[in-house]
Amino acid sequence: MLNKKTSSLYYALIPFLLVINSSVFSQEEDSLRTINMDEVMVSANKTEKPFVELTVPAKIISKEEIQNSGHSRLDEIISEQVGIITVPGFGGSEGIQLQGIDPEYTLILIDGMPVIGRVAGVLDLSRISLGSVERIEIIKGASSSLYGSEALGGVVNIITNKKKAEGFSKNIYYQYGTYNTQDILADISYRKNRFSVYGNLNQYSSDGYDLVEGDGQNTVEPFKNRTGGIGLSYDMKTLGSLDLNYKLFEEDRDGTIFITSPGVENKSETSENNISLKYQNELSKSVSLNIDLYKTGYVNKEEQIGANGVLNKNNFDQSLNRLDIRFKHSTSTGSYYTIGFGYDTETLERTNISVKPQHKSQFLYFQYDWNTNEKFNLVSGIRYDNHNKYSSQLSPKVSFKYDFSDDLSLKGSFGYGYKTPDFRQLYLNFSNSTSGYIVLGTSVINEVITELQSNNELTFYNELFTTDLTAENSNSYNLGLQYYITPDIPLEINLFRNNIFNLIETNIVGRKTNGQTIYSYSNVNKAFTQGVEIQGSWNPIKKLSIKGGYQLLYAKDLEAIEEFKSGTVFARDRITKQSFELKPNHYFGLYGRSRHLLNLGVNYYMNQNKDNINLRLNYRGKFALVDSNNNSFLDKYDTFIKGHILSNISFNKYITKNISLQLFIKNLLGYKDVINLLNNPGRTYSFKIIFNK
Amino acid sequence: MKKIYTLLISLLIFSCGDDDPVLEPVEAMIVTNLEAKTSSGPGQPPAGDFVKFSFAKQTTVEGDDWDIAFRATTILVNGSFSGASDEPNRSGMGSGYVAVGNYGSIKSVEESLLVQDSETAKAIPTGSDNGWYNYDPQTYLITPIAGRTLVFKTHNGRYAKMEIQSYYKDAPENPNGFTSEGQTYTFNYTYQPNEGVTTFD
Repeated sequence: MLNKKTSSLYYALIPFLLVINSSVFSQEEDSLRTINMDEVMVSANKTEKPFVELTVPAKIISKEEIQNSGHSRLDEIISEQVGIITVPGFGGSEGIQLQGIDPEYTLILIDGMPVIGRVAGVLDLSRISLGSVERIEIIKGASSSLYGSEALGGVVNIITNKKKAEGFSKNIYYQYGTYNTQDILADISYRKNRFSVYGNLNQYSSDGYDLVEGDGQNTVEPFKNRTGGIGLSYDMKTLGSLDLNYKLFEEDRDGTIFITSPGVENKSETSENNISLKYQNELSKSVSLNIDLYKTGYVNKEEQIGANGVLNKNNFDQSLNRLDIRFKHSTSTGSYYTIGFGYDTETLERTNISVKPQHKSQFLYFQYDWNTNEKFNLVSGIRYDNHNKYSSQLSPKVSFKYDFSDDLSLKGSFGYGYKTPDFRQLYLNFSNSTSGYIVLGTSVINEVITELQSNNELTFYNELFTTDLTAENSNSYNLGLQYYITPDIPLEINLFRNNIFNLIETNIVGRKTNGQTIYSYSNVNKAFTQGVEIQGSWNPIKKLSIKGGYQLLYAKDLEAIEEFKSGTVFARDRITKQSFELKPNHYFGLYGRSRHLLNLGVNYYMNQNKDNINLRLNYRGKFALVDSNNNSFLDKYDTFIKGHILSNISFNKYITKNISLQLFIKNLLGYKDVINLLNNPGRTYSFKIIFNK
Repeated sequence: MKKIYTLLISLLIFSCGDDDPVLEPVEAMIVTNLEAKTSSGPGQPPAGDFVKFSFAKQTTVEGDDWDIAFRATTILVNGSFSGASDEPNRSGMGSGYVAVGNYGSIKSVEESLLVQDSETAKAIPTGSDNGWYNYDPQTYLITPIAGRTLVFKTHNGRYAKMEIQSYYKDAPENPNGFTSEGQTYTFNYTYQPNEGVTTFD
């Protein structure tokens, strides 16, 4: 056990430690720096690897950055990262867009385990509280070779697990801000020798806000959510260590979220829970074993009373169980390989799905980290997934890093990524009589069509429609240079290209005699996203750090390019009503993508107490969410949402070693677009008091 | 409210030989605010009478000498087929098709593409993005697809081409799916009055 004096110093430093490491004490001065050579990442190898040695494009958001930022939810901090934005999904959710790839295709993990509960493909990142987060790891580029489905664009792994300090430690805060937004956290842990236990509770609530007056409803109605976690770990020495974690999330929302039809009442309850049991054992000097057992469930219940007084109930109940067993074997040369295997079972019960589908898959993966000489590191891996509903997938990945010198290295990677069709695309049977359309999953469509045909309710059906849905997949390429202009000024340039195949789209497949259109899903589109990302940081003086980044992006549909080339796309002048032909260079690309993203962050430490001012500017270039001139493509003549800057500033002040205050101004410049960007209420203020011991 | 006027009488085509008949000039017209309302409410299948139009007479007609007929987004051609009971009697030889291309670039009729309305499909296909319009379920807007020219054979075997410019009253610059008065056509057309001539110059 540490003596009292050392331990209090230790706790005071916790917010500023990127890694808990004994060498930190001698590096106290250096902890002011933006780059910490001790940062490790687990997501790239499923085992710790120093961040600076990674062969793939990656990013770590440290606890220090999270705490200094003032943000309380995951989507807010994610959207400040270079080349990453958050995009609104269905019902006010916030999903991630990474290298120009849609939220459906980035895998979200908490402590290495997948988060479920995607609505229309989007996983709402605002569900996740930053309160007990240790760090966030982001990998860009397809990573199905380790993680299987969904890791097509990349992986975000939220690390909450940490080795607890000896004795009691606590992190308690209260934040109050505009719109009566309140964020409360109590996180307490206790460690005695080989045994540790923790518990945390977070409540986040808000009165919501109204951007459009006089429509009789708020843009975002009041909501309240709670996140709680408990866990214990026990180190049995030669018998290995055990980690048990339980997490629960609950949210209530009354009223509407971005619903445009007046008079609709809405009530929504969401709960998510997950439990994991992790076992780790160093079997010998060179072999270690990990066994992860995981169970998660996501339930959403929604009641909607329409303007016509009709009550609509929607239930959504998803579950996932996973077992993942892996061995790591290190060789004497510093190379190591990982072999893992396991299985998933996934179920869903929801309104508009008649069956209760169950998906089962088994997987086997292998990754070799070849590190024979000091200059060259090659990481190659492959994963095999066997699925009870789809053809099996083989996902390779190769990546390398070559150090020309201490200052200059080259990094490159190629990876395969895929996403299996989700339950909705297979089993949805949405035939609400009040809506003008029907949506059928490919597994149920034949049955429904046969019934409609026998009842003479079908005017037209596309007999060529194939119900054979395959996984969406991609080949992703990254090539980058890492250059230290001086040891304190790192500069990174990365070129990326993702070729995406078999994108699933909804298509019209038939029409009923009553005029209702029938939609279903099919693999049709091919698209690519490509661009370059540049980032760097600089400490002109020790107390001041500046970091910046830029992403240039081209994201296009290949079929659309062909259509423009063939001269069959037109636009109409709004005033003269004359139509004219569009040329290939008039095609802008996919919806919701900005060609230019720019980030700038400045942090200034005012004194040795670590009091600081932290300013971030995030520019997002023009983009469009819809085809406003109705030629079904996004072109130069569409109406775009103008490029804009969102800026955040926070002031952190330590009253004592353990108590600090924070003033946070979000969207300092007050940018708003009440027509197109309903998730942005304009400038908000909040104040936070933090106890850390 | 309906206003029809001659914009321009284009090229007179004269023949070289003495024996050839003198051809009448093609007629280029703009029709504004042709109302083709359904009598049913929103969200209901369209009902009520079709509005019948004659290219030669440059106006709506009551008799069987119509060329095309409108009701909401549906357009019929007067070709020998007896459709649903609420559709007008088709006694003519009319047909049509949707050409992809600028109005000006469609210089002649591709006769092999001409089809009549049938049990399963209309000559001008109905439904969003199938024929002449796009329907946006978010904004409730009906927008004529740019670069779609409707080509017709009239009830008595002449030819016409037509471009729909707006589905809303007074063809507003930025129509609103909730507030703009719809089912009101503005279109231009070119009518070739000479029998057997398939060009529009």
